[in-house]
Amino acid sequence: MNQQLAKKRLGIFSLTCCEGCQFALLKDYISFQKVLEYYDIINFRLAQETNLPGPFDVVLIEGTPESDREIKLLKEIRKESAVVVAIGSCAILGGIQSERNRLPQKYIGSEKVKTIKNVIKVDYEIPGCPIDNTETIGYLLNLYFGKNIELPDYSVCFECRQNENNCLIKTKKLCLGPITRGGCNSVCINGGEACLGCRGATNQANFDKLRETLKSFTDSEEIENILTIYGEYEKDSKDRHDRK
Amino acid sequence: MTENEIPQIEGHAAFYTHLKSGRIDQAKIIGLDGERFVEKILFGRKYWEAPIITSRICGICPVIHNITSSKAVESALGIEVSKQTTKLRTLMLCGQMIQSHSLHLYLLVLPQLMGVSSSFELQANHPDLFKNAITLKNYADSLIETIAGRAVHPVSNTVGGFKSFPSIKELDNLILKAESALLIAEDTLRLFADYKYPLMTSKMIYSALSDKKYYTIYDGDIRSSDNHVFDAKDYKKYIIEELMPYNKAKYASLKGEIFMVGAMARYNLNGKYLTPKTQTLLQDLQIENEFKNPFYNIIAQAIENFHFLDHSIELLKQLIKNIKPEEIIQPKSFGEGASACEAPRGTLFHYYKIDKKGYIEKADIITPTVQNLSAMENDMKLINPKDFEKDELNMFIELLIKSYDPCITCATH
Repeated sequence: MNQQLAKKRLGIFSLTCCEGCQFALLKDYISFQKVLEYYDIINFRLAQETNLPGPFDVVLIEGTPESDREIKLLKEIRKESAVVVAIGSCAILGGIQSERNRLPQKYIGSEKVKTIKNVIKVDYEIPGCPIDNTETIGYLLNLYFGKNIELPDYSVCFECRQNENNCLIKTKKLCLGPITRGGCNSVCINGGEACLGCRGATNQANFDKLRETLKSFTDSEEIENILTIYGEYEKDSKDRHDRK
Repeated sequence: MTENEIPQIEGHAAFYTHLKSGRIDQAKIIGLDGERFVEKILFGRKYWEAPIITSRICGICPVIHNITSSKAVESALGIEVSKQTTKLRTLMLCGQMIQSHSLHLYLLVLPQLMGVSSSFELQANHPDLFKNAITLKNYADSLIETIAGRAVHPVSNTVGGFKSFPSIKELDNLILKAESALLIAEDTLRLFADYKYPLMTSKMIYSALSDKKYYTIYDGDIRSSDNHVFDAKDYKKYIIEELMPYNKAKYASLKGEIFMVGAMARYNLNGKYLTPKTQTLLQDLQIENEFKNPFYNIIAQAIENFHFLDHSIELLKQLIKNIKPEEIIQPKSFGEGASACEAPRGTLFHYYKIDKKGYIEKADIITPTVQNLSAMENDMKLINPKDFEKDELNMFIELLIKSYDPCITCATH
């Protein structure tokens, strides 16, 4: 490493979730080493005893804010950070817990699930359930050098074909590959599972067309179910279009 | 009265102690994670979604939720899986145990035992020990990746069987990795058995899956040291959950009694079924065959690390001879079913009721940490605060809680 480069200050925070993104980030300690060359980690409760409240150059946040404590924490983090990155399906789409937004209020007896961008301004998003560690570490290095995070905008099918998997839709199985953002190396389809959309939709996703295709072999209840496993997939896509 | 947030555990929690005439008369563990209502959000979902959604309960132990959920749904749908499926799942569970235990031992406990503040500092000052942690975790990760497609949140295991199968070459590679990792697991056990842990004796009831043949983690009855024996389907009669006003996680008792689950409980109840190699090593190190000190849960984890590594080699060698692609078994009937498996932190229960069209009507999940919370609070009260300076006392309580390896994310779900 170039010794003249000053390290930047990184915080890694977790709100309500499974913490799988933090573990995915630590999955390969050797590549995580790269992060430590460019950043001082000044807050990472899962991995260290001493944690500071800020200031941060970059902050990664996973999970959804559920309690007043977590909402307050989010606002404090925003004040202390130059760049806020939401990581994982919970932080971006609401995660599995946002299913409760579809159920009657009375049944759950709790408020609706918010995503991080409902509470504070988010600068970037890194999708996945969980995030891919190599992709995330790459983005962290981008941010260090002042570059933007540009997510790939091809569908999962693109990588799935390169991996020579058999197309699930052609064999009449549910799959969200055609409208879901790639970059995951089609890990689920490689392992025999369908794409269930954890990375959110591509910018040009055509929901109506996919629904029409899937309806020829399955009922609409099941289609709506799979469109909501990792959160408000379609709403997130619409919101992105509206913002443009 | 003090409240302290606990760093380096899974999930967010604080502990609280109240002193009265020099003794700790109240000890509470307060979960700070929000509730995700996982059981309720399963309502109206297709049965095959349960293992996918419930693995998201926990990022450190997704595999065990994935498998216990599959097993419970299978029992609700009258599905009996093949012997090969059972073997593949047991291998995934071996990987889960090694992954979780080695992470807990090296990255969460060891820094505190050695007086360094983080795993990163450990990495800088003790690169050899750090390398051990990586070797063990890498083996566990590649074991789960090879069998189940991905290390965090597996993809290949589903209700009725597996959606993809490892090749002979991949299994061969795993065996090679396993053999060198086994040596590290032995060093690990020597290292953790050597530490001088605080002395504490807790009169405790232990509970774990057992089948009186193997060191079982995938099936069997639940047996306790106070002689309860029950099948997973009767879990509600034995494991009684109750809500405490100060914690979002529930507290469970074994028919009203405080009890402990996890590595130490399994070791105390099923120690004689550990692999022969593990037993020889234990004799070598003169480790007693029953632990009463809750801090020794740490040693029990190191023992299990070695055992599950050794056991995984045996299973891999069996599989390599005759692994073949199998069809996924389809539902035969629709109804209710429960199952229990051993998670790194203790017995995990899943229960589902499924309607005639295959949609989930009801779900219930009891996690190991929920079963351990009362035992942790019980043991905190055994501490005599007069023995410590204030900062020391907090460190001591932290280590005690860490020994139990609580997972607040799981407990709150």
